Amino acid sequence: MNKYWKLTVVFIVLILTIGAFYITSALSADQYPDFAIEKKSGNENEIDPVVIDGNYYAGSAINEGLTVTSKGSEYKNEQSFLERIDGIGAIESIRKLREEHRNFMRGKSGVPDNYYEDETYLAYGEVDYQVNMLAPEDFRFKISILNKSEGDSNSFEIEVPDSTAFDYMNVDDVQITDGKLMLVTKNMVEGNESVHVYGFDIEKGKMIDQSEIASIENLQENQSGQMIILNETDPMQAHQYVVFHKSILVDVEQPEGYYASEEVSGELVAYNLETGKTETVEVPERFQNLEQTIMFDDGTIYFVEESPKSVTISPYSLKNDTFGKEITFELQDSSGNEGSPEGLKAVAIKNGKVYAVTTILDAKQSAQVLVGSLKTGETLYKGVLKPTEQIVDVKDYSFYITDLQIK
Amino acid sequence: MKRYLKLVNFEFNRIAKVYFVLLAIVLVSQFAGVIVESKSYLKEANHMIYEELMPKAEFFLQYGPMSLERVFASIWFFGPIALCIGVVAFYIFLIWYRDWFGKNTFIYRLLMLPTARLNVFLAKLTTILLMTLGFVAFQLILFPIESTILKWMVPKDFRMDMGTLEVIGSFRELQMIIPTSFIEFILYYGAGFAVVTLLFTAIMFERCYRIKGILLGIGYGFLAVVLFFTPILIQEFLQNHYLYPSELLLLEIVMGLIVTCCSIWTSSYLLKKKIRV
Amino acid sequence: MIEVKDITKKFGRKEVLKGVSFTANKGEITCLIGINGVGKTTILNAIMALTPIHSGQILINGETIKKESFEKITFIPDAITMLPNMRISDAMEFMDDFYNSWNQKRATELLGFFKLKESDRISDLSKGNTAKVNLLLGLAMDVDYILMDEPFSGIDIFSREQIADVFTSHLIEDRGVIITTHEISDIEHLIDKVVLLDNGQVLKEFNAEAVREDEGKSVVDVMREVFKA
Repeated sequence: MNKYWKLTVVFIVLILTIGAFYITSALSADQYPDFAIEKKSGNENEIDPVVIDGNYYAGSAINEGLTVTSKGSEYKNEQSFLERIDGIGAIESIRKLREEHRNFMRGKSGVPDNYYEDETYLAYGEVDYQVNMLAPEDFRFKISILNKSEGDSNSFEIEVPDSTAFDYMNVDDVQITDGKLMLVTKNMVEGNESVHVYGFDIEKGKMIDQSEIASIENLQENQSGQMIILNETDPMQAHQYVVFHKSILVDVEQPEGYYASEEVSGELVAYNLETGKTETVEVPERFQNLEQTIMFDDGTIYFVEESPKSVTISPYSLKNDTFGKEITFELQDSSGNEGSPEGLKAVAIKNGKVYAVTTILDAKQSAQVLVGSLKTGETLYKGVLKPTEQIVDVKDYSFYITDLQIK
Repeated sequence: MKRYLKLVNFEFNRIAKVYFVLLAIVLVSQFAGVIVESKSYLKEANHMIYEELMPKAEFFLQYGPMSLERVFASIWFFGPIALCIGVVAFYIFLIWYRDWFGKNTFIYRLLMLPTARLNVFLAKLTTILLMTLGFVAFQLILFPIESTILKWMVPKDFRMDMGTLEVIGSFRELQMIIPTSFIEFILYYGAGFAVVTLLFTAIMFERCYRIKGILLGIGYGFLAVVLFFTPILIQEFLQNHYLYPSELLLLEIVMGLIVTCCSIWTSSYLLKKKIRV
Repeated sequence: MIEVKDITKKFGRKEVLKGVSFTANKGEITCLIGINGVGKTTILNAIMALTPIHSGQILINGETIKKESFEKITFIPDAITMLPNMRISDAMEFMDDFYNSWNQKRATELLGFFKLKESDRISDLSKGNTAKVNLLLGLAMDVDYILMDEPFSGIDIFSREQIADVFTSHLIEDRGVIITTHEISDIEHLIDKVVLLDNGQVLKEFNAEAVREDEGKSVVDVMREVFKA
């Protein structure tokens, strides 16, 4: 017998087995089902700006990220390996910026709050600091501005004034008005949070002014306070106001023995970036403890309430300082979900329209998609998100929506 | 090239007996695992459903169906894999030292072959690679057979059938050994190859300079690791993630290739000029 | 010609070779003589590039050693260079596999000459037979130079005679041989050239036959003179 037989057998078996495995693996990647939004009523152009990110699960083994738009679905594994690792964890708006301005976006965060974009500018601002053994120090603004029409960018770093006692600092919003860049930041000093605005001259790369918009003071012993910037569908776009939800929390002992925070008072602090004026809006009691569903878009604050059957929105206009008419859109969760109404719908508001989608779909239920006008209260579009073809061979598949964005 | 292949064949045959015994251990242990775990599951099911009178649906809710996942969580499955990994790790060193030690000094023969001494180095490297990938291939062959045994053992109502890909996808530890994408496979085993090359180079240093060589080998290893991670270290140090992950990966691949080439070149030099029998 | 030119070698701080030079010609048997630990084996290892030297140069037919040289020069160390679990036939097959200069016909002839059985395992052989197999693996090659390290040490008297017979046979003929020994008597009448080594240095390099004929002295006589001085 040929003395090379052992090596030959091992080598051939190795190549064939591993080869076959990876060919099967590559082929099965194409076999994941496609999903699409199917119109039930209304104008299908309404869902063109909708971008839905989610995960497809089947069995205990398959978990693939995919993105659904009006054009259909695309799995992450259909992208090249390198595209995929660049896209890890990035949401649609950041992915788009990285594609369009690859060099400018180098080394910049994946948080949309740090960006501002209009026709001329793409601006970025963050606060960087060193953490030494005792405390953070050396707080610096790092600012970059890209002039999109001219294609040139400039960056500068400026020390944050009076930052020696800072525990923490975060940029919550970036805006440009009339050649002035503004960073809205949350500063934590000795346990007290406050919101500041810093203004910069883009041309000179210098800080012009700064002011405090709001702060939490006079807390009692068992109280704590927090300031959270209101959710905005597109924090990068130009807006006249920034709105913070300021709440005072108190620790309350629960019947089960542990402590939980409850909101004792809450107010919304709106800062007008053009005038520099601050106004306060008391949060009606029924919306307290629901801070995640207060949204803000284009000068209007929206209080969003979800029920298993509907989404109800109460607008408050900062321009007129008045509540508008409450509007209810029907959006039925699937039958089994009555126990826990929160978090089962993803809601986004942009340009006077509300977009909502139920977040789970599987063999028993499709995800419901709705677009409604907040001006007229009309339902502009109704549809369902479901597999384009019936999935027969996988029994226990499901699709969880993780993010809803409006382009 | 011909002598290189002959050397690979020779090196492989030297370990073949041990290797095939290991494959047999993997096979027997994993098959036994499927049988033992299936039996114990069925026993539990019988006990709960017929003696404790638990409704079948509730039993499923509590215990879940029988699948290969249950087998893989057991020592029957991971034990032999760990053994194989251990043997390969040990053999990385033994494959060299066995030629120096003992009554018979085979290293004389290897160094006096009318072929570049680098071929001896590469043949040993190839043998380690073949052994490792051989285990991977063997495991891939075992999966469908184990799945079939499970089908014989457990009635359809009580089991959940899984394909090879699902099996691997359901276990993080398995994905380290058999990643489901080919690029990751190349990256993982490419990195492994680079590490083995590095270890071989360290062994060459020891074989050339003995005790002083251990320090040189460790020093070389340290330098190589630092060189390899330079792009990441620089980014971390500067706190500036200038490169996109894909660019960083490509750069790391290039660094890996450079480090591996350095190792091979260094080993070749040592074997040619500095080696001691 | 093998030229060893002023080679030095240190093990740690100890200098084992302090500028050793000699030449060995094709068609001659050159004997490196010296007491144990004088660096004889190191010289042979150095010629085969099996140990690095600190300075000096070794040339084989005017060139430094390279991979092709191993088809022209072979080394028989004092221990066998094959794996213990190999049969003699496996070892011969291995040689045939890797060396173009392996002469299977001569190997078979030697097998008969040494009365060895092809199917024996190396680990089962007696000391004498192991040495013979070792010798066989070197002698069966069509090479210009053969280096032997202490071929007679620790071997019974009958095997020694058998091995000594090889030197007078056609198996050696016009090849160049370098042999090391600390025990000259077995081969004194065979050798052409003697290199006397002590303390890492060449004390004297001389032609054995010339000394015998011109001065009427044996190699041992010369050794005595030199080492006493």
